[in-house]
Amino acid sequence: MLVLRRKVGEVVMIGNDIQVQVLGVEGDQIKLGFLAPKEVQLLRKELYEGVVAENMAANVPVQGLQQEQLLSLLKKFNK
Amino acid sequence: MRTIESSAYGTIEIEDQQVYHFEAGILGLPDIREYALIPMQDTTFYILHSTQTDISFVLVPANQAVQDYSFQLNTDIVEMLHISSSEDVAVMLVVNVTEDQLYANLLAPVLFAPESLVGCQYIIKDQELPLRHPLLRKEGD
Repeated sequence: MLVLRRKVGEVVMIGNDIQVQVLGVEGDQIKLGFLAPKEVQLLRKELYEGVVAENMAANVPVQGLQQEQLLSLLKKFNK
Repeated sequence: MRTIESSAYGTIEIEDQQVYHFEAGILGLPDIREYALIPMQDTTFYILHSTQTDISFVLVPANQAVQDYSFQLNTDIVEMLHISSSEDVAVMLVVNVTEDQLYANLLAPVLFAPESLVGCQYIIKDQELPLRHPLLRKEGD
């Protein structure tokens, strides 16, 4: 892990296109500002990890189920 | 017309208009950038299948799964999708299939812009939404 010390107002570049700026410090919280290209999603890590875990669980669609079982479960869904 | 060989679904024929470009991929799978969106016959569900690998997801249109589901899109995403109104984008939810229940991910919908054939998974950060919203009513409800 790269460790840098920054003062309020100072900026870190990540690659050519991403910037992180320390905007302020309040008690034990640090306010950070981010600039990144539109296809880069900026997320709190817990949120990111939660979604990744759920995606990974969902992408084994058959998960031990047979095709017919999967289909019958899906067909059960009627709105 | 192309075909996908899927170990889960067999040989699937797809049209070019079914193939979407995901610049950032689906979260957790950043290197897969092309998926085909295929309706699942006799169901309201769709398959989102990678065109180059065996990875696939089951999706459900959000309006089939929940009511009163809405969120704002930031300008970056609007630009990336090349859309000019909310009518230009289709919202689908990733379905997690377990032994006896189907869960829809309301927190991170998958957006599709058919005009530009661009797609992305968008995490809704300003609402408390579940990763797992059950779709099937339990027995006895």
